[in-house]
Amino acid sequence: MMVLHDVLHSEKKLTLVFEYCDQDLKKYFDSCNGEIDQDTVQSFLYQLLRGLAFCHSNNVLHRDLKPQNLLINKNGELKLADFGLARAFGIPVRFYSAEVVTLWYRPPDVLFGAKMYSTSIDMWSAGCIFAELANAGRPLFPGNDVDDQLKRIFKLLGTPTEETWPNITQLPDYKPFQLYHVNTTWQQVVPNLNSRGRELLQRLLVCNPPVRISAEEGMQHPYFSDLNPGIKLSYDNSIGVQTR
Amino acid sequence: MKLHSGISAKHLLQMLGESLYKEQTQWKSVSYKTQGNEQQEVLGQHRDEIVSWIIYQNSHFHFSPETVCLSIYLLDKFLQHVKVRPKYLHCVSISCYFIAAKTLEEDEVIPCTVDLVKISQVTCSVAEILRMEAVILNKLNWNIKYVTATDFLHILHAMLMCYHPQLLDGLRNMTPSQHLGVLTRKLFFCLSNHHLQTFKPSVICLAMISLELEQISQNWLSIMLMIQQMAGIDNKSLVWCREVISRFLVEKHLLPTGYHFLPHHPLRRITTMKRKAEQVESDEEVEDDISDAIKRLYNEDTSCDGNLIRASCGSELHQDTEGTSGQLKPTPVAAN
Repeated sequence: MMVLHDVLHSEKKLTLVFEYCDQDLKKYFDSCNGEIDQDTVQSFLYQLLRGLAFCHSNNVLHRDLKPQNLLINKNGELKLADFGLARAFGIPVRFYSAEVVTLWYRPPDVLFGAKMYSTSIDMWSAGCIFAELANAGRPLFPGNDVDDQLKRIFKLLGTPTEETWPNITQLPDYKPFQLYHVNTTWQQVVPNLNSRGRELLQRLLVCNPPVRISAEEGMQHPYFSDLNPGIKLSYDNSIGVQTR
Repeated sequence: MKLHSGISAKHLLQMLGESLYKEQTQWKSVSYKTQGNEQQEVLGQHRDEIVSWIIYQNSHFHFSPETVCLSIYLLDKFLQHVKVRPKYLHCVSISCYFIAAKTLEEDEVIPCTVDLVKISQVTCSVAEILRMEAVILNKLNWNIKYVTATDFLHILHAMLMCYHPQLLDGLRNMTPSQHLGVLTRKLFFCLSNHHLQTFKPSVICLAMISLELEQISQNWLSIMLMIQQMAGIDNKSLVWCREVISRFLVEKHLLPTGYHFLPHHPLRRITTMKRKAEQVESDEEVEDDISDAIKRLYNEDTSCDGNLIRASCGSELHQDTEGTSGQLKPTPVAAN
């Protein structure tokens, strides 16, 4: 999480002073020329999930996760930034805005106009970012508009039906899509990711929101069993400081 | 067990702990004079009228209960800080309401100030509201994120549903969200009574919930004790608050609630007997209810057995929790 150092407000201008980070994940991708170390992928995803678990346990939805909003400092620490679209959520599930999350990282339920969502909204974005990380910066679903976005998703995951996703037809902007025949394997989608990583990716990219894995569960996934214990520990500590 | 929003029992306890901690640091008892110069200072009755007005406004704007509750909290906080003349109360209230909406609602449902004035039919101008907003925010040091009674209501109710998922089983037309709706409407009534604002929001909620539990569960006392322990709320203020709420809600014909029990419910027989015995009064009460404009506004069920006037059981709760155990009976019986 970015540390907010100060807020300065004058008559017409409001300035928020944050800690300094060298670059964002997008720029990081540009600098790695299509190649990324799979340990880095694992470390970044773990840190992303850790940040999300922290937000979600404090009842905050980020709602705008994308590489541009993940900042990286020179120690290889990844931090969640830009909480401009974030909001607090309570216990009764309420109607929120469906105009959230940058198109490529927007989950299918919100693309269909769902206004009742919860933490699962961020988990989809995390899945998209995971695949992008594993492919060294190639976006997973670079759609041009809402329809194209949904088409790209369904081509990879299969078109959801009432059986796989109960009440999908009740969503505000639902419209039927062609039943795509899935002919790409996950190995083709993320060739450099190991099988545990692919398994975790599939648990994140689930169309039906309540079935999507949570951040906390994600951190327990076997994909992280060989994670450098130093990373686990150091971030546990840093979170401990922030919750004070 | 998980709720729809994916919140677990553990998470609920954490939320409760944090909210109680915040309440402890933020909350100050609110009190109003009931007598004085009506032109010069805001008295309790002015405050209650304007709170009812805010609640009424929400039938136009449809903000969440959290927003309404925060507006009332901000209003009380401001009025305790600043001496306001009653004629400015509408302007102060609509500004508090607007600030609360901007804090909690999505941008797309927040009206522009011009529409706020038009829809609410408030008599002050856009410029006055803007100026008042700045005054309120400065007086409150721009701290407007308070834990309010709705936050506690949501947490405590979710805990009830989590630990006692069968609680509403014997009731007709009562899903957890419908039940929360019933409680929210009652909470708003409680908030519009300045006498109750000397109690902490958490105590008001727990006292109100206990009055509801008592009507629907034979085990209400043990369930209450469990929640009371989790929330660390002391007996004395809880019992006293419960007494005040009980009297107030009975006066407003909001107690008993008028739950419709299914045939197998253990409390059904008791209530039906009671109802027959007081049939005559009941008819009069129903007529009163229909003429009650506020009740219709909140869409309360007017066919309820609102006649079941019950003596307050506050003292019984006190005795029972003091350890004299004995036979615990639901109040409709104990009231006789």
